[in-house]
Amino acid sequence: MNQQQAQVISKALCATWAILIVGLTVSAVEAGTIGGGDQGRCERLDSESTTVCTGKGKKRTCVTEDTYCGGAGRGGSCSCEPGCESAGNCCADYGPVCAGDFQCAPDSGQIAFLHVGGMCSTKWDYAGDPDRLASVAGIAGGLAVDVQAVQTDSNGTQVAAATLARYLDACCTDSNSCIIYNYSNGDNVVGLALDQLATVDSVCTGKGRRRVCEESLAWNILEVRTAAGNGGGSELSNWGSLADLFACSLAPEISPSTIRNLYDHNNTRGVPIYHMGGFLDQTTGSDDITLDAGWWFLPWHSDGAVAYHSSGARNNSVEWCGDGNNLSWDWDYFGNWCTDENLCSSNYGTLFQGHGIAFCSMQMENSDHYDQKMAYIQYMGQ
Amino acid sequence: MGAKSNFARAAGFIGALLLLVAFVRATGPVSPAQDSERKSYEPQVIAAATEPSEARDSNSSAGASGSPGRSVAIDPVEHASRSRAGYDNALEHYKALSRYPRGTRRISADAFDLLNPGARHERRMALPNGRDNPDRDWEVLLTADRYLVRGAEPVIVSLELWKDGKQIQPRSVYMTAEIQRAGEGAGSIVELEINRAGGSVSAEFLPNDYWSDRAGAVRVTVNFDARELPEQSGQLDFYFTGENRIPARFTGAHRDRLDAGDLVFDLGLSVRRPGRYFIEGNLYDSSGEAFGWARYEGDIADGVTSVPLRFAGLLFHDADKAGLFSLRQVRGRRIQPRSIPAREDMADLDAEVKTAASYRLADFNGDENDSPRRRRMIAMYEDAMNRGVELTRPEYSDVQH
Repeated sequence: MNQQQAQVISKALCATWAILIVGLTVSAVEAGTIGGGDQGRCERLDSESTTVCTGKGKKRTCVTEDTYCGGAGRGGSCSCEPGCESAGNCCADYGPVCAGDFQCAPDSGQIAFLHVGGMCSTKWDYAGDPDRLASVAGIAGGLAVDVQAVQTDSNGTQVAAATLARYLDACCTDSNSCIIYNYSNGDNVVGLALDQLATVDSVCTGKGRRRVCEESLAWNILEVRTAAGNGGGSELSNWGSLADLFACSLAPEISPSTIRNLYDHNNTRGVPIYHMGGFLDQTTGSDDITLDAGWWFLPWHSDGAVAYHSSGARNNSVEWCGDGNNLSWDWDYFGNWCTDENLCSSNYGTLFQGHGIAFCSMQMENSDHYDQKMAYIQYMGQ
Repeated sequence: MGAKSNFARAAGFIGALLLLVAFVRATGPVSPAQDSERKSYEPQVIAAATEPSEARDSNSSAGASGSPGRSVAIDPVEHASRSRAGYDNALEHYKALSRYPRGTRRISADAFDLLNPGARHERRMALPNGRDNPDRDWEVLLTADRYLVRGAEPVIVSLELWKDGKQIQPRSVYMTAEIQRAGEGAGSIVELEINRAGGSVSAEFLPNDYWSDRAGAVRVTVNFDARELPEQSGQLDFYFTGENRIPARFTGAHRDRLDAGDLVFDLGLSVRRPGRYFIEGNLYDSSGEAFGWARYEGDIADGVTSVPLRFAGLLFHDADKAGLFSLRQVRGRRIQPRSIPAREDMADLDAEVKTAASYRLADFNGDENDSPRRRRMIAMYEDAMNRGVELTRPEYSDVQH
């Protein structure tokens, strides 16, 4: 009996009790979808830009737009014009991209806690949800910043990384420093920014022939705190019908092969990146129907959206207990079960360099992808 | 829920099992060790604070951010007393990570991704039966032989299908490939010729025949069915750089030298498209053990030139390596991270670059990186702690030396 079969029985047992008690029959229910579809944005990739030239001869000047500011946002569903705030139709990233509002004071000695959301999101903290920003009440000069970056269209990771780079330039340079919380695909937004979008300073020492210049990261990032990271990609992305469970165009773009080849995950430029991740318990599953469906398609240890190899920042997509290996009988679950479920175990492969696991052991058993968003903040208390 | 498609088939024997299970769980032979282990498995997550189904309205993007449906119970005493296999805190980890100047890292044989650039990561998995129900009878593996495809390289896409663990041939298979246009979705569509061999179906594809002037993601879509299996649709991406978009080539010229106690390889390049480049390679000792990685990162003009790949001297002291060395997996790409496509790949240097000289350990600089940047960051960590920041104390970390 393999793990999935054991879970079938375990889940079926629980469900059957309920059926017997209430005398109802169970009919198939389709999972819902997650996310509100593609959102417009003011961030603009270079490849989306147009160059406008004016004048003639020596007076001819050309300007390449690097934002959609001053007009309709990408996608046309929102505005990047100055009056959008009063009209209430600003694109989600209007503040940082067009208004220069990063919620921090540059070069002021602040310690900014940036928060980067996940796939299909445009920010971290949504009204009415229990998520919130980390408390910085006990930190002198601390402030919490909700990064308004749009991760919804097929280039959402690159777009959001470009927006994050704007925040990092504004909030994390000179005398400011930062800690970055991120969740799910925010893992890739941060990783891509560090590897490929980093702003560097050139610091020179010595004189004459002994003068040596060093290019170094301008961003003063103390550490990155990742919950349920998608840095290793999600197998759900490979199958259209599954990717459709996540209702934005980024969903088919985050498969393990694509994400693992998108950037060098080891190149953190010296910034420690820490992770915590969980998995769904074999008997109860997720209380979210979409994640519960997703669990069946992922490697053994998954939270319904990403597997251990991803949330555990491993440099290969290893699953210790896949394909019937490394199982032993467990009376408690009445089936064969995995002999090692520790996210910190080397059985799950080697970490990307520069990465670490903040919390080992079984803290996140029976924890689905949503449960984990706030977990790191709650564990750290700030 | 996830098990719903299994209810019908499981229901027949479940009733009989119920009494048996209840009896076993009440009186079964659970050893003290098992009992202890199970206690340590008690979940730390407690009851839901809100109903996730309500909190995650599919019509809002709130759910997209993945709001938690539960709070997490934390035992501070248990948390603090856990053994630590990582660094004391992020500051100590930072010191280790910045031990070498930027561009050098120590690696070992388990640096899978660096030693296997362009590796794929598909796995055998359950098939969706409808939109979200898994069909545990059916499993599929859709993969290819590479992720990065450059110039005239072929890519082989393969499809394997199992029912009840036994491999079977799909009945009808239709594969297409399309290159993604910059921010505009798909471009032209190419139908792939299917080959059947044994239990698998494959298609060899030469994207350069169609898109030699393009670079970008190519998506292969596979539609197939089998007896008793409704039509399925899967997709597979790879990254392609057409022959006319290959930005530069390794000329094969190289030399090695010492510079300020670092080992430097100068690699010849013939550059067709100027821009920002990443050039990388892995360093091996004479026994074939990988121990170093380096990257050149900078702007390169067109024409024939050479780029320095620098391995910091301290790397050799940390790894205790001397003698002859070789450079392998030498690869390069031109990057435009704010554009789609974001990269144009060079063909790998198809040769091992061996040092002409044998180096003594004493030749290498053993000094740790002491840059102004590093000193400044260490001061910032200390300042942050003094101001009340609790740094993460990782329980498990990479170890570089």
